[in-house]
Amino acid sequence: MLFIRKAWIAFFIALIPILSMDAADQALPIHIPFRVNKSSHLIVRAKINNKGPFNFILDTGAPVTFFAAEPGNALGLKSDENGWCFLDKFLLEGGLLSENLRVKLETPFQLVGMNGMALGGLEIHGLIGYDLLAKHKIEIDVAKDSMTWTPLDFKPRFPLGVSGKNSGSSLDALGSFMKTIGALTGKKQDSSPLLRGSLGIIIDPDSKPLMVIDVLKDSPAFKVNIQKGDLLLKYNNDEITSLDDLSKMYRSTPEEKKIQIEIMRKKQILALELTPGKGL
Amino acid sequence: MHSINRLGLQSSILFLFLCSIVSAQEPVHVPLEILKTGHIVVSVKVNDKGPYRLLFDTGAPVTLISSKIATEAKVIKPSLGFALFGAGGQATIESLELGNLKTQNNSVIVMDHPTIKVMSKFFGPIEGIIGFSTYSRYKLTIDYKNSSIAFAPNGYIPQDTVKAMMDRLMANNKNREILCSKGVWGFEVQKLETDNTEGLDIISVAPNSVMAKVGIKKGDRILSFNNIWTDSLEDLFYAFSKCNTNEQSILRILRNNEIKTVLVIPANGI
Repeated sequence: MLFIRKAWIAFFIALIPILSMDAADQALPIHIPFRVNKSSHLIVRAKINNKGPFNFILDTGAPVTFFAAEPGNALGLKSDENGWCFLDKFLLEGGLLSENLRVKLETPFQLVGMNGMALGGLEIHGLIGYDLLAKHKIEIDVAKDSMTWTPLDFKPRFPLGVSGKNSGSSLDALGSFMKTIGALTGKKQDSSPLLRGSLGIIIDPDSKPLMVIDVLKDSPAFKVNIQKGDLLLKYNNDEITSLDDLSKMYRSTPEEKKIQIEIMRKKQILALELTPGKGL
Repeated sequence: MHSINRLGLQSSILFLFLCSIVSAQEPVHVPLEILKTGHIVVSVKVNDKGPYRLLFDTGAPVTLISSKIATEAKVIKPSLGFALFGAGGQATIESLELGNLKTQNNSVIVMDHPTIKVMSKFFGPIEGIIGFSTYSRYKLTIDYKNSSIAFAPNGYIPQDTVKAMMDRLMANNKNREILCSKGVWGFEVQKLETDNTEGLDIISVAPNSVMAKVGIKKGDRILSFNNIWTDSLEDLFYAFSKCNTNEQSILRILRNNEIKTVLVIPANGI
């Protein structure tokens, strides 16, 4: 009887290493927001020592993580004779923190080219390469705008060709790959976007024509006296067929164009002109 | 007897139907060779020719093949020759196979990349790069630890990057981009120039809005929205332009030095 109990215990003890191994491999995935920029690069953002955010290209073609020299110097970072620098805190947007992360504090020529020609539409400050990527299982779905990183219990081997000993060898040229085409200059990054708030009109999406069911206090719609029960007929002279349709028209109206909405109230048609505000 | 046969036929049709669903969703695992530099190499067949070794590079906007592949796999019509295809010559590959993954109509560039030539000297012949124009069409699971990438079709149609970049180089920046929030929320924020800390201050909340209903107050500070940092107005509008109005969004706010997480769905409207 005692023997059986001991055997049971042994059985459970034997289980422990397996369970804990599983636990290590089953770290939760962390959602990392990203965007695809104008040059079809995957851009993630990171804060370094609580400063930033900085834009990084997720780059399996880079053996290590690079942080451009200029923003690095602005943060007061110092590199050793081989260009390495340890970042106290490297926080990826979404909440993935790497502490004491070793990066190359230099600007690969591809970034100089890309930023110089403004190909990406936004300034790029670095590349996230193999040494950081390989410690995670990474899921990327461009169609769904979704990326997750799951930390793995895995220490990637230090990549060849970028260590101090080999510096100066032709392998150093492999830091990352040329990703730009053409060689023109004089381009600027995109100007800052126009920020368009909401008009404050709350609509029953199933009504036809669309019916206003509430108006937010002090909103642009409130200021021109749009009221509960008003029916929305036309937007800038185009007929409104659905809420989706109306939202699209509102989102794509160029900056210089006025916003005119035709409504019906108590069998009377009224034309109103609205100015979007900064409220959401 | 008759009815049993019919049942058998029907159930087998259902079975086939289920099979097709499963195969459509089942990701294809492609084995990887990880070079000592940390680069990923995949084995690729082009128009049934090969296999060739190509780099898998998420930092490459387009898939790139060497002139050797282009000739052997007849990607370029021989009559046209190479005169038309200098650096940056575009072509379409009918069939591209990465391990067991078969993909059609891949837009590629035919180019002998100097860096790849250097790499080939150290690691054996490498004949190109798999880039965004190919991999973006799949949901990827990159797993260095197990030396594998899983590919599942996601229906994404990548833009013509080469054309987009050329347009960008030739034309000046076109219309200013508009960031417009989706749904109606009922709040306003501000960021003072002297304010260098994370987040944005909420300066007003409309009393009849969804934000008021979930308890958001003037003076709260928005730190992030759906995990996207909201340190500037531009970031805030970007995050609110990306949200799905049918799903709960996650708002992280700071109130009295405490971080709170609030779930909220916007009102329908503009």
